[in-house]
Amino acid sequence: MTEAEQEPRVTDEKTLFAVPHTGMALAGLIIRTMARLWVVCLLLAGAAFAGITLNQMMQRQAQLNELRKEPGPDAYAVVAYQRELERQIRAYNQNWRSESVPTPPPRPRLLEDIDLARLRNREIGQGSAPSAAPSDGAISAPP
Amino acid sequence: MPDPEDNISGLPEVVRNSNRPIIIYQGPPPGQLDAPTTNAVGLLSWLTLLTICLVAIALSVWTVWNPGHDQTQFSPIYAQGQPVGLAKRIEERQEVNARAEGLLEYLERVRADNLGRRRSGETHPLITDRDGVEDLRSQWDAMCRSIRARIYDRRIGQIDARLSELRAYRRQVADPVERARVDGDLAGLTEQRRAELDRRRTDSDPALRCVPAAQAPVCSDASAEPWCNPQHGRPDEFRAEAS
Repeated sequence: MTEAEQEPRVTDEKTLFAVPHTGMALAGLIIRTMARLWVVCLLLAGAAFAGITLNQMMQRQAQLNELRKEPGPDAYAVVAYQRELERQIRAYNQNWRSESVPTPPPRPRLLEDIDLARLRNREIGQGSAPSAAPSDGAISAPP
Repeated sequence: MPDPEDNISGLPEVVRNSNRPIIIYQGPPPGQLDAPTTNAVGLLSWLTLLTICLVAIALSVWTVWNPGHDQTQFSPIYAQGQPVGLAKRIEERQEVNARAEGLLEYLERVRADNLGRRRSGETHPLITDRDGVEDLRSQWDAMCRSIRARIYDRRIGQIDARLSELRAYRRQVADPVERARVDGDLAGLTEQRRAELDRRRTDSDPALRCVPAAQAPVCSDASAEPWCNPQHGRPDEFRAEAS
């Protein structure tokens, strides 16, 4: 055994942290860059879609608020009354074994005004004197 | 006994004199430990931001396109209740607005014709068209008459059935006293049937009188029906009411 072989080997810092191969380092750099780019694009796309959908939601809300300006509650009530008449007709047709006669839904005030105006106009058309209110009779009996 | 100065950095003599390589770990190079920590925090930040974006997207889409209906809330358009999603609510409101458009103007025109004592040819789809209020009222009145006729038929049918039973029983009875009692019952039932037919013909049973839908009571301020005072039940619908 020579003297040189007996000397302890000195391992410096460069040996411990070996520098990788240049090709591998380049590939790693490209992969890291691509991954970062992908994450950034994902986040940008997410933010863009979030902004678009939030904007759409706000626009829908604004559109609804705009639609709610017209008509007023009186006209809205007449539409709702029409829907209630439809609903009652459908419900009573399904439950035809009812033991009592139905009660008509109360009329909205605007509809009463329309009824009175139309009644008066009908009477004008018939040439008779207008009456203040519709007659109080019930539906005539079946034959 | 070795001299203390020979013990370099506390290495024992036996190690110093060995032929093995001596590796002294002095920690990672400067900045080596910071990188993984920074990367982890960065990744968490990206993920948090991405999650916030996804939540915002999901919330917005759900708010607009929610297909559900609130069955406890009356809807003037949908039978299954008020829609929850903004898109459906817009559809509902557009339908309401389309149906009610020009209703006040229609009333004003009819009133103007009345003042001028002219026969009005004015119409409004909500009132005069097919499935309008007038048509539905006719259907409602017909339905009421039909229900009433069925009730009378049922009552008369029950009396007829009882009469048939009594007549069959009378044919089997030999006892004159019992026959006289059955005859009395038959006469009573016959009279009851005649009275029922009279009530049906003259519509004299107040419990079975059909009030025409056009003559129903008018809504008051205290009426709780959703079509009477919609501004009380759902003020949101008229938040920005036009002046």
